[in-house]
Amino acid sequence: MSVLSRTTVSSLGLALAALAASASGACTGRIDQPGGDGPGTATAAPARDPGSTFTTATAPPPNASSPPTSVPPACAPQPLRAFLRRLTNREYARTVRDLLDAAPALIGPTALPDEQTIALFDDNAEFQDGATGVDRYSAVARVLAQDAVATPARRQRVIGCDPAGADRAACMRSFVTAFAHRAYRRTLAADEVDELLALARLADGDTNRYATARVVIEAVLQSPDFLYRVEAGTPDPATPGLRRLGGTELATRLAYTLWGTMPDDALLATAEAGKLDGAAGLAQTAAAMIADPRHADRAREFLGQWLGFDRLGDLQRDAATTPGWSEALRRSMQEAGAREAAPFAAPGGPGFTDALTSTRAQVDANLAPIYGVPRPAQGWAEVTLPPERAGLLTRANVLALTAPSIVATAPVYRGKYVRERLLCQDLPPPPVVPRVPDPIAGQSERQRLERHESEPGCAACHALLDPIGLGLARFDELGRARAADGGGHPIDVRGRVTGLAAPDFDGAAELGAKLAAAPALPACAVTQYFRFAAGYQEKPEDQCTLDRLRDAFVRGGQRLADVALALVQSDAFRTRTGGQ
Amino acid sequence: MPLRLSRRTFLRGGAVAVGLPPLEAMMDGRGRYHAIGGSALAAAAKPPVRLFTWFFPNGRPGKTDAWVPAADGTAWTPSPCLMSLAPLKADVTVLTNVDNTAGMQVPGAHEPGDGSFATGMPVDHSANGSWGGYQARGPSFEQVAAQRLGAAATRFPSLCASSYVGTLPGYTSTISWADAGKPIAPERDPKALYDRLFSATGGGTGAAPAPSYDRSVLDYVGARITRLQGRLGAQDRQRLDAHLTGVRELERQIALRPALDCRQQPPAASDPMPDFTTKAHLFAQLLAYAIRCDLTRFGSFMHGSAISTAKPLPGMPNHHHGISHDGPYDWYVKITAYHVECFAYFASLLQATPEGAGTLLDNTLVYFSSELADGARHSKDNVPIVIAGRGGGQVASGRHLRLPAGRWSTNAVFMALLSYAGAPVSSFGVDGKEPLPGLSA
Repeated sequence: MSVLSRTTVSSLGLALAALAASASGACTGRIDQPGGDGPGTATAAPARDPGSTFTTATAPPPNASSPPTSVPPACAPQPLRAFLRRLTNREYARTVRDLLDAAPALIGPTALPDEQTIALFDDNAEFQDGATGVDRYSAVARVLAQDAVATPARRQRVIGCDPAGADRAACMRSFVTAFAHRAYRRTLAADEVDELLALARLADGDTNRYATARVVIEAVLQSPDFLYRVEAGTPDPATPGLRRLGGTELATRLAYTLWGTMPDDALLATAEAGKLDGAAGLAQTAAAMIADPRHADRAREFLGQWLGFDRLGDLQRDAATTPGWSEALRRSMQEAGAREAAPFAAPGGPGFTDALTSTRAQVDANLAPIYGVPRPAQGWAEVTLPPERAGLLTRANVLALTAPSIVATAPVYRGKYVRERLLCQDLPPPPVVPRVPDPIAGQSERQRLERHESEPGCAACHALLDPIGLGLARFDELGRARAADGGGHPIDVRGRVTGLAAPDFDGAAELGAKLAAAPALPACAVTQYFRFAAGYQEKPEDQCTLDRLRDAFVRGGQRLADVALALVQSDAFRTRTGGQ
Repeated sequence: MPLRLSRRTFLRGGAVAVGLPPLEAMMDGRGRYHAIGGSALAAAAKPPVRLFTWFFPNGRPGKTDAWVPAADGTAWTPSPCLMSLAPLKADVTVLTNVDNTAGMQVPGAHEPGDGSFATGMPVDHSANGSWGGYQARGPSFEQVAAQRLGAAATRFPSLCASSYVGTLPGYTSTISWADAGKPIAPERDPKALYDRLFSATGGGTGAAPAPSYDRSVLDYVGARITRLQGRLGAQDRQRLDAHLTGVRELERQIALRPALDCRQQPPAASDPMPDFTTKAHLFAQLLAYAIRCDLTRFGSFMHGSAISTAKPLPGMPNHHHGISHDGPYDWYVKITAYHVECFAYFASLLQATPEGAGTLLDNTLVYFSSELADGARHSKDNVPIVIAGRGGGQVASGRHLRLPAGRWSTNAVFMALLSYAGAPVSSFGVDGKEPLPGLSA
């Protein structure tokens, strides 16, 4: 008896329990509210735009497949929620790279505080906890500071003069002034510089001649001015309650949004010269920033978290039960994700719909056998896959990511991937799971999944998931094509994306094309970018901003760089509420 | 004889399975652990009661005789799931018919059970709409004791660890909550916990310590926080308040550093992340060590997150969560027994450490349970509970306590444990009105 036939795919709490926790209660089948519902509706789900509305087949939304509606005239973008954001661990690593030219290896894998991933992304400004991790920052700062003064070359790079020489007072003052300016992303007041110099003087008699500089670096790296993106703003005389971000505050927002790292000297100088205060200067600066390689990095980070390539690092399979699995393959899958995402990160690159329909793939010696294509002579090569391999849902990384160790249950996970990541439809957690009938010997994998339909408690959610994932059932848990299921049955890949106007499809390529044409896709892409950039799940008042971003996205042919540009130039981005 | 436990010894020693002898460096010539001499702890007339929680995921098999012992009282014998508790039979208490009532009040599968595991409060999942919205509505009970008793007594008010690898989902990642909506991020890498315990700096990556400016640097950081707060609104100020609390805590740890008896050399290079089982053993050793050295008296360990998809046993046909729903049933029993075995390992480390006239386990209480009762059904009534230890002789251990069904919630257990730990409360959680009476000696 094979493992597969012994293992049923019953209750399938297994997949659903892993789902995001949604608003509340059982899966009633109604997993979203029609667009236009704002604050005050019964649902706790974030507000959606009309294009991403969704209900079950029994009550299809009238406009699920109609083109996105235009922004109502009354819509006024509200400022983004301005949480006091601490640098994420990735931002921290990039920032010390830029600030100190620090080698990445100096920061160990667990050296920085734990982060939680919410709504796919690691930047959760709303839920950051200030108290944890202070000891980690302290330890990392010590390591980085020691390294920064360790050799003459490092000292020259970081300090730029001799803090132990004859002119050491002048050297320390110039170093502290310039270093803190970059680290705090603003010009310090004179007494702030003095405060750091006083700290440095404590190390004047130290046997280590560079202890004065080291202690400054240690202190600066632990200071809230460095660890947090401070945005006090100044009151907007025209709008009570609203505050406009200062030049360097806006430069910092721009830098972390578009680059994921600190503003460089040129950007700070631009800001301090007042050139970001007007729309033209901001537009010019933002365009230049988007063309910078740091933005490509940042955009790949977004795509990696959104589409899950980042999670491949956590993927663990057992080569004994998953033949063909290896660590090398896992790394290749991860690398392929970054390579295939790169064009979508570039301004002027292909529109995102291509990602769901393209047959071009990046392969190396590990991935070529997965796709059944010849191994490249060396390194990586772009290949064109057969038509049934269209779109990212047919790529080995996504297929592996969405396959549990028992491939028969993969359709559930794959359906969940599409609903949550591509359509932004979070499902509520499952209720107490009823028992479904035992499988009957000889049933196909599809027939077993269809047992969900016999239990209303299961069917409500599984009807939304399984029929999507079944369209991908001709790919196994590593993304290889398979002709028959685990029991030797032929594989039927007809499926349904409930909620779309024409929901039925046949096979992976049609599924990709259908999703690429769905109005919910651009709406969701924009929503995911918003969550990534703003650091929180959209609130009802963000609907107008989301609508405008979506319009910009659709108008430009679904290029992600357009959304980034539209966001950073919006009033929502340049202002905040609250504050002193 | 001084304690000698290098990082490398520690990691080597940790990379063994249950059943192999514990670390030699931690034991004397007769195979018993060293007692600590000369410390405040040794000078104290009566050892303090330590209180820990130990979480295992995905509940227990649905046919209750796989878990629930057939006989009651002192006549109990271990069920198939509890077999590894046989050597600890006199030191543990098995509880039957205690309900996680708080978990039962919220619709959902694993998450409500996870968030109420030690808080006894129904989770709040309105906070964020969907992902990550699960927040506990109150502190976990061991944190109540830690806040009241631990902060003044030991270097670490509490130590919380988890062997979960991978990206943390918001709601299943911790069982320890400082308060409503304030999760405590557990230490997930044994090396990092090792560093926190043993490095002179109280944390980090093992660089040579340069402690003489630490206080001045932290003074500066504290002053910067205060100054920034003057420019910011209430919400931002609050966040910085929390950061300042962390700074003060680090200052306190630095101040306590010279008095530390068990101080060790900072660790050397880092090692690759150990596997699921090794990691549980390493955390068990580190927590036992931290208790023995009186570095902390309170804490928690999560042996995998709720909905664990670990596959720690050779030949497992599916991961833990898959098996809990889909079987094969005998594998559900095996994986549950495995989790009990790892817990038994921790208890046996405490049992093997002398303290006063008895053992460390005599003065400790470890609450061992799961987010669910029957994992296949996501039920939360009659959750599996084992309490290890005697709490300084206050608990009549060695019994299977079968309570009337539907009468007692976990909160009554928490209240009893808090009372034994010296931090009694007049109520706890959603329905805790009185301590469970049957536990006391």
